[in-house]
Amino acid sequence: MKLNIPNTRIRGIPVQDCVAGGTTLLTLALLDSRLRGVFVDVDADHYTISETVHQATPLSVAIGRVTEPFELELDSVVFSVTDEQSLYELNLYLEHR
Amino acid sequence: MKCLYAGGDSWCEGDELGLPYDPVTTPVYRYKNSWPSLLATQLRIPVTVNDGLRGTSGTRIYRRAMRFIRQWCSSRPAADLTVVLGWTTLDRDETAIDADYKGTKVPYYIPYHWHCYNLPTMSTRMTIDETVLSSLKSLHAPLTLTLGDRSRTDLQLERMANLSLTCDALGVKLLQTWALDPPRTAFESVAQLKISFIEYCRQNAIATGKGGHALEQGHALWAQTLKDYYETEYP
Repeated sequence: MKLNIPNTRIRGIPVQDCVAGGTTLLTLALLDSRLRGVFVDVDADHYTISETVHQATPLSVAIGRVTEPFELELDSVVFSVTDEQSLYELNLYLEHR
Repeated sequence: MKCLYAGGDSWCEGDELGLPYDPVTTPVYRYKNSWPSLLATQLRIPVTVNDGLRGTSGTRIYRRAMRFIRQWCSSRPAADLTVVLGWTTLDRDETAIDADYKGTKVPYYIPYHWHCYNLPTMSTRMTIDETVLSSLKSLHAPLTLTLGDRSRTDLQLERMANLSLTCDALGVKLLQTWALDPPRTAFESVAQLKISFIEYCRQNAIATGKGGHALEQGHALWAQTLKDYYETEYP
């Protein structure tokens, strides 16, 4: 599974720093043992993201133009976090699974 | 990577921090200013998972903690994981159902007492069978108002003892504490911090919100108290 981190903000907060299920979306993704790669948009905060990925995994970070949304797969359901509503729905699901 | 996993109810989640509630900024504020993140910072643990949820039950705290421990230990060193649990009152519980999410049946666990305001209107894309909702309503009153708590006390002891045994066997660091203060003499055989978060606030006259929860100062002081307890358990 590859994690795409676009330069998306939700109410001014970078998507990877938003909180769902009691942790940041970036941490949530990094805790997934299936993760095989991280691709970060060149306009996102790739320095901080790289530091976090480096702390949490042996993976390196590729930087480029990311057009795909921030996506997480849970229980065979793919959650695309693009706005407040999709963040809310992911959070609701994480709280009750 | 070291990780602190915290489980509990609203006292763990950081309820009443960051009000008025904003669905995007308040969860971020609570994550950063509730005791799990503050404790992790003090213990120099870089990753925090705050699995606290308002109104949650011992059943959920146990279920989710055990799952996190199992998943963590399947791919990462057990010694890198610290689990801190703030148990709650014994009258809460949950029931397992299958929910329909975007056309896929998914596992979903509903607190009994949430039937009245949590579902199905919180999400326009999730639906719960009406029979389930009406059943929850029927169960709620007798479960929480008329039955005794002897069986729930025994269940709670099972949870705490099993977690203790599991973590000891795996090498996961475990702190068991209480958010609220039900009678706890039945659990004294399990290592735990004796004082609860709410008792700590009362004894130290710490300011609380309108709903009775600790605010920023209370979370900071509780994190320090937990750090002291951690250092006695894992010197």
